Amino acid sequence: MSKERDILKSLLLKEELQLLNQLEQKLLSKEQFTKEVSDVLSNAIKRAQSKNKNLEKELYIPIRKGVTKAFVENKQSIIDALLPIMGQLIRKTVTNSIKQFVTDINRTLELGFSAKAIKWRWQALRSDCTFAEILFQKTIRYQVTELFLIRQTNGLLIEHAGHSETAKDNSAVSAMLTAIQGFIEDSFNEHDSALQRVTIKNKDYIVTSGPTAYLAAVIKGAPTQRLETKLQQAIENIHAEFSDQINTESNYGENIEIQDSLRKYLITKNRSDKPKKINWTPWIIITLLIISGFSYWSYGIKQELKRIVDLSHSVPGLYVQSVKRIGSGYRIKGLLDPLAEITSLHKDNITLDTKPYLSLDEDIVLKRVMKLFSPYKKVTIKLTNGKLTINGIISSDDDILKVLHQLESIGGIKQIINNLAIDQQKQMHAFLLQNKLKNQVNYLLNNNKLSLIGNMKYKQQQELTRKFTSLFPEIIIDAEKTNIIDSTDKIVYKINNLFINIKELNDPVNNYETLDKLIDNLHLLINRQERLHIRLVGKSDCNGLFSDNHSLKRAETLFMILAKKGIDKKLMTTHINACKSFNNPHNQSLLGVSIQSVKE
Amino acid sequence: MSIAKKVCLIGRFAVGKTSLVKQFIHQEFGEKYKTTVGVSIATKKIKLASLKVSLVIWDIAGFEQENHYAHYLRGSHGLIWVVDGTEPESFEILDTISESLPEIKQIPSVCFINKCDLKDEWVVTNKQEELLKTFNHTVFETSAKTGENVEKGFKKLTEFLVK
Repeated sequence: MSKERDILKSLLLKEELQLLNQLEQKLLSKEQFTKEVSDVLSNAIKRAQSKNKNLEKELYIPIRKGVTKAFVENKQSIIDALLPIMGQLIRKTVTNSIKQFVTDINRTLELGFSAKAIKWRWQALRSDCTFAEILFQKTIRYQVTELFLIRQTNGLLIEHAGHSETAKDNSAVSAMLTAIQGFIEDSFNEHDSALQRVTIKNKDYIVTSGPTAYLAAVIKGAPTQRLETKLQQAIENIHAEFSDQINTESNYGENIEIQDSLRKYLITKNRSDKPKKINWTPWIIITLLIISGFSYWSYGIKQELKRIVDLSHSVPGLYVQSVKRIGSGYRIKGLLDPLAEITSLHKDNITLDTKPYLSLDEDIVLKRVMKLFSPYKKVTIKLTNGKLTINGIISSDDDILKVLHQLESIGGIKQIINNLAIDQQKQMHAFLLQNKLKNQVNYLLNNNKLSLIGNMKYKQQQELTRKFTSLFPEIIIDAEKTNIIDSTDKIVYKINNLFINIKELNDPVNNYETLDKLIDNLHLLINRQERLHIRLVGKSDCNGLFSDNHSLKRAETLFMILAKKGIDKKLMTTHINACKSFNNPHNQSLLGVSIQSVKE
Repeated sequence: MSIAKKVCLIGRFAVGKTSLVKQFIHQEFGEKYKTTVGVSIATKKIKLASLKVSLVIWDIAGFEQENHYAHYLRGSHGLIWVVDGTEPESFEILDTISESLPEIKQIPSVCFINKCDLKDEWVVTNKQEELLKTFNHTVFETSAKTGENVEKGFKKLTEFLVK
């Protein structure tokens, strides 16, 4: 029956059976099946991936296990396979790092010569920080993006500021940080082993603690040590300012004042990567100021040096070879005459480095001459352009010769004009001896006043006086003690021959010598106690009607003059020589007074 | 007005603390057990009349090591004691902890006897019931798997906290 059925099946389904056999062979033969699957596998995976979302999930575990096993069992081949990729990646990373490093060095070098760098150096000096610290503070970019103020006891968030980018809510973050804090304390078993920094998902948290709460700051970038100090100040300030709010439990978001306070510490430090142009203006100004200052300073030094040089050249007897500035003073090198006056140099802090010499400066030559004549008080000296004029009295001829001889040895004198005179007293003595008057007349010289004592004729006295006056102009002759031995008649005769010419009535006397003779002779007679009567007769040229009146006036004028000179008025009478006619020609020589002395 | 409160879950290893928190917050339950390392923190806001209470829930790892949990409990406003109805040993932790931290009894607390979905397997003896009574806890039979009494228990504790 079954045989028949098989025959029937083969008749009816011959082709299908053949096909089934082929399929069975394909499925049962591993090699054949593998070949068939490999033909469709890539398309099948592609289709399955697009339709079945779980495929990746299902493949993940076996693939991961396979890869892990491959890594473990065949490290070298994996390394060889990854090397071209990893090598490129590493090279790229290293290149980028080196580029950044070079950029940083360049920036630092640029800053090293910029005004900003000088400013920062000054800031570093003042704030007792290193320049590197200031440089990092100013150039490294970082940002405080969030601030959590957290209660120490239970980790509850007191306040939060900033834009939250965390996956969990802020309360959870603060609790988490507190848990870490507690874990650290517990692990290290030390109460002061507090959490200071923690990095969670590329975010740095800096934690600063206060007595009741602590502050956790979320930082992006590379902060400096200074930021930690700043945050520490922040938590201290918040405690000082909001102690009540911190100690009161409430949900965060309600303490607006604390929030505002926290926001102040959301610091952003930017760094400009754009290459900046160097601002030359301050450099130019500074350079100009330095040059101006230096020029002014060197000008002042030069001017001062010039003044010192001029001053030193103005000192007679100092020959200047060089002037040098030494410290705050000057040193003059050269030659110095011992007679040079150098006191004017001392006030300018000048020191002299000199050798002695004899100067031919006129002032010094004059000093030298004056030193020579210092024993002779009555000698005056004048030196002009080498011409020496000596005036005065010297005691003897020998002395004159001696000083003249010494003058010859003094350089700088081209010509000597010698006006020296010997002492007049000695000369006078010699004169009296010479004129054989020594026995008749004695003399007394006292302070340029020469008193002649003795008997002599009037004429002789007059002659002697004239000679003395011409020889010794400075000497005043005193004849009071001279006894005139002329006869009375002769004197009367002399008086009567005198005519005092009075041309103008306003200026009566114009011949004093005659007047003096008249007076002297009148005194001689009076002194001899002669009884006299003197007639003063006025005369005119009878040229006008008032000539007689004028004649009388002339006589009266002389009367008054003689009275003033000590002639007793009782001895004198006035008269006129009356005119007979009044039209005579004018003759000035006739205008005057004649004297008629009569012995009674 | 809103207020934040710190709540800690304490209990023996594998009693279901983390699952209870997950159920309370996400209404989810995972069959796979993942042990908690240290502490896991979650937050949930609960509205009680006009008051919004933000609960910061500290799910502390199983209390097997002596005193390792003390610093996590610091400053807690409320506690949830979690025991496993199927594990009688899990009740003993109440005694152990309260002995080492006597001040903990002063903190408002509730007790969750978890895994009530497996009530057939519960082995709660008289001794354990007596122990719960000495703590004078408000006790909830909870299931982290089904969510039974979980929210109710958290809410009750919250009420204690704001009283």
